[in-house]
Amino acid sequence: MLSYIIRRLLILPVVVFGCIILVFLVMQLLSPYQRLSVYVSNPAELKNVDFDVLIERYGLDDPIYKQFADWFWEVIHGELGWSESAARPVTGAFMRFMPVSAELALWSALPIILGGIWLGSLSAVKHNKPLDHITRIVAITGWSLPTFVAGLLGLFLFYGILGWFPPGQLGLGASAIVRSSEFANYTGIITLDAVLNWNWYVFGDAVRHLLLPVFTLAYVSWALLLRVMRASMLETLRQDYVTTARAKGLEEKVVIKKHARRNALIPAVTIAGVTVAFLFNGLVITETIFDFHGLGRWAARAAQTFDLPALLGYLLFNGVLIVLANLIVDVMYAYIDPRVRLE
Amino acid sequence: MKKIWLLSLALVLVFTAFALGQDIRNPDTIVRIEYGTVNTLDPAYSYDTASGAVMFNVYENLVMWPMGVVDADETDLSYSLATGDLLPMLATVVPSVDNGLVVTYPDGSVTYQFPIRKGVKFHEGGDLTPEDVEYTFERAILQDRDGGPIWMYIEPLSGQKYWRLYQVVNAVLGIDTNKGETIKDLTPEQQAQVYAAIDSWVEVTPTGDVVFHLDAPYPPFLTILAHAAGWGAILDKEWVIAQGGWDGEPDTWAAWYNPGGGQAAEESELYDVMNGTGPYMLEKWDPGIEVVYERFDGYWREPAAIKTVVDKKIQEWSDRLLLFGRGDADICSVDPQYLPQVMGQPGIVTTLNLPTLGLNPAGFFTSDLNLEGNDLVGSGQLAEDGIPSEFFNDAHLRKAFAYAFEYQTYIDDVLGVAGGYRTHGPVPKAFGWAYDDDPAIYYNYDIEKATAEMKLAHGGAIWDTGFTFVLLYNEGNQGRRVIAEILEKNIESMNPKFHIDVRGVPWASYLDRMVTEQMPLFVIGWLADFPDPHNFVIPFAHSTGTFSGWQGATLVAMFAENYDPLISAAMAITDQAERAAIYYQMEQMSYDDCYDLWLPQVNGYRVQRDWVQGYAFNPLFPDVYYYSVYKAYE
Repeated sequence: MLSYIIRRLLILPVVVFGCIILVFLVMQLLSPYQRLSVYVSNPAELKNVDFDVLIERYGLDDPIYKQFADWFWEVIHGELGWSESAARPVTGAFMRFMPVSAELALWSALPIILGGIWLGSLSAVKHNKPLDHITRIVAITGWSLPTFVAGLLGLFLFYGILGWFPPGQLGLGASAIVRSSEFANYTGIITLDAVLNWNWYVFGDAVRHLLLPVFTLAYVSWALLLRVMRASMLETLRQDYVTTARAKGLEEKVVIKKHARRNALIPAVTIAGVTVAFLFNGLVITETIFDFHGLGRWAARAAQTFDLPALLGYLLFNGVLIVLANLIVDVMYAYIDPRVRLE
Repeated sequence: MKKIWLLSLALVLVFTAFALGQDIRNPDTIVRIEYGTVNTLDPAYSYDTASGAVMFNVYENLVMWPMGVVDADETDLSYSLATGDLLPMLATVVPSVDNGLVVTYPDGSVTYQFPIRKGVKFHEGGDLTPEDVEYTFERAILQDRDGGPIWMYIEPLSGQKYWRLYQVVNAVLGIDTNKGETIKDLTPEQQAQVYAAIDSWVEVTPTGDVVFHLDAPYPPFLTILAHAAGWGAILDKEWVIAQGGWDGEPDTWAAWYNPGGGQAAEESELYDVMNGTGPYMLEKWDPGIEVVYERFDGYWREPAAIKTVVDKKIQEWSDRLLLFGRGDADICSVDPQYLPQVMGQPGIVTTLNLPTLGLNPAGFFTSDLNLEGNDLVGSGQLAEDGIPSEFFNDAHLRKAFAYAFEYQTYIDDVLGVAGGYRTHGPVPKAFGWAYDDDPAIYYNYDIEKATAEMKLAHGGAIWDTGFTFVLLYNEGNQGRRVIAEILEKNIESMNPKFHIDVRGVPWASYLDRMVTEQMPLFVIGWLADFPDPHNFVIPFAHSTGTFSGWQGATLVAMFAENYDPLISAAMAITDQAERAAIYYQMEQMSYDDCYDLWLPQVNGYRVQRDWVQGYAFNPLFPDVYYYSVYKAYE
């Protein structure tokens, strides 16, 4: 297992390198002026900007291999450059936005995975019974509903009318506490930091602001997992060994938990892994609708404004994330299914 | 459409849930929601409105503008943009000829002398001194970052000989610094030489006043120093040095010149720290997310009424609408197309028809188009399938386009409830004293006149051969798209051989085409740096202007020959009536030459909760001046 993991980790830089080369090649389709546009968004600044000087200074006319080599040299020295779209260094942008996405992802992952797996297996067990029909409706509506529609509907109802769950990460009072010198920001994940500071007011306020985006995300995301788990469970329940287990007199609970569900989990694990990876990726629409300043929102803005340092930094991060997520999924396969040997 | 329907449906419910008489939320805090990224907190570096809005509340200048009030009960437009109405701020008196603090010398030079207020504290505890003022301006001049605002001081202080520091360096040292690229390599002796040349520009007198020395008259000089101009914000010298800034020595400044090449704001030592004399201190700046201010209780005037201000950057309109509707936000930025959703709602006050200070948008014709790699000009020939390079060289053709635009339709259909007004350039209407309102120099929609002009264009050849070109607009901007489509529709209606293809492109591509002079017609705008016609005639009608400089060789030559001398002449005299005559002449010439398409301007407006009072107004202000704001039902 260990040698397998190491071999997979060795592929990581190759994958990331390939993606970066691709982006660099695509960026060469832009003219130097287009690439400079990220620095000039205010027409007044055009007065004293000499584009030729800038092109020379940033090496935008240099051969592609030199541009890439210059950038790569900076990266391995920890310099990912400045993100105009975030108005801060790229590394600073990651440190600011990643905890936000991570908090959303962590809080959403549990309901998505547990809810999807539990509801999926339950609807398979109660096949064609009312519960199965209800979960089917939940899955279809969740899958069909665009995130922004679900989010906006939820926001209008639960905040606009009822005033329960406002957008943003914190209210005014909790924000003031977090800003103050009495509150230590350990991770940037507010709920976690609130626990570490033993401040339950901030924790409660953060959870209050998280409930709606988490529920929205869960509702639109667990459909796929639910249906995959249901289908896989149905197939597993028809297997001969399940019939044998029942015939041996085992309780239905034990048959489902110990024999059926574990085997049915394999395809669901793949989906769950990819889903969680995408959650950590950042979710543009959810973050925008609920005013969470996370990675997805930043990446979308960087793409719109041709913020090349930000895009390359984000690509690096994503490459690492996806490779690691796939590795974790493969390792979990081996844990779930003893027949799987990681060679 | 689904989104709009959802919004509309919920609006009634949301706002009905909060009828009049709602308790004032967060009485000690103002929450302002808007969008607009603050790029830097360094006054000498900052040239964007969002950053300027932060300077405006934390820092102060030598003088300030009178302001009116727009609040729930009253719209008081007693602001002024006249130099003579300026009020003292960190100076105790506004210099003028009458009080002897503005003196013109026989050699044509002018001095402005400012007595500095005593007993003013900076937020970090330092005392304001005249040396702080001198240092502030010297630091700014010696920093002069690329793309920055300090040309506004270099130009007047050098007697309009220069507008960039590198030009001063080149002249003083007799070298070529490649537009400042080699300034960082100057020796201490060279740096001292340059400093000696600019030292007299700002000095402290033996009596403790600060004197600005201009080599030639510059009528709007005081306006460039006034509060609202973030670049004139006064810094604490000792504090700046403690942050790692220039030590004030004559032979060391080059290390702080043009930090980050003007495109990396974080290279400035004041990028993310502030220490002003203003009514608010910076509590927190989270770039792109929020700015939080706390009241400064040691303020030299009466402390502000509101303790905390939270300025949140929220791009998503639905979030802003909901927060505003529930009263969790007090002042909201509303795009014109969303105004109907908030107007007339309980608890919301909307004030329309406020003056604005800009020419944004305006259309610019390009002469001598760059045909290289240009896919906007078709065949590049005088033929139905393209346009030649000299297409808009012909004034008749430009006038045809000017007559073909439906100005009133644009105001009615695009500007909507905000409304708009007709204007011509290059002087904005807000400068009443310099604006010629003669109806004869407006182009009005007249398809017959457009046709007549088109038939004269290029000796009649255009009418016979026809043309095709691509008209670009900046994506994400509804108004700009409609401008292009109006022109397309009306021009094509004149002659079946006329073809205009409208296409939206991102800002990056738009900028690229503009700079490389590929676009036959481009639309962009200018907001005032300071309230004087000079700030507009340069970008619109000077041969080296920000926009006019990109209008191709023929038009640039025309500007150089006919407009540059007038622009210089208007700055050489101080009598307002004489200056006005020159600007009137320029406006008449602009009509005759028709080098730009003068598009209607949107009216200003404000949207706030009904408990917000004391909301100061002056069209020059970058954003809310929180000092005068308080919350109450009145």
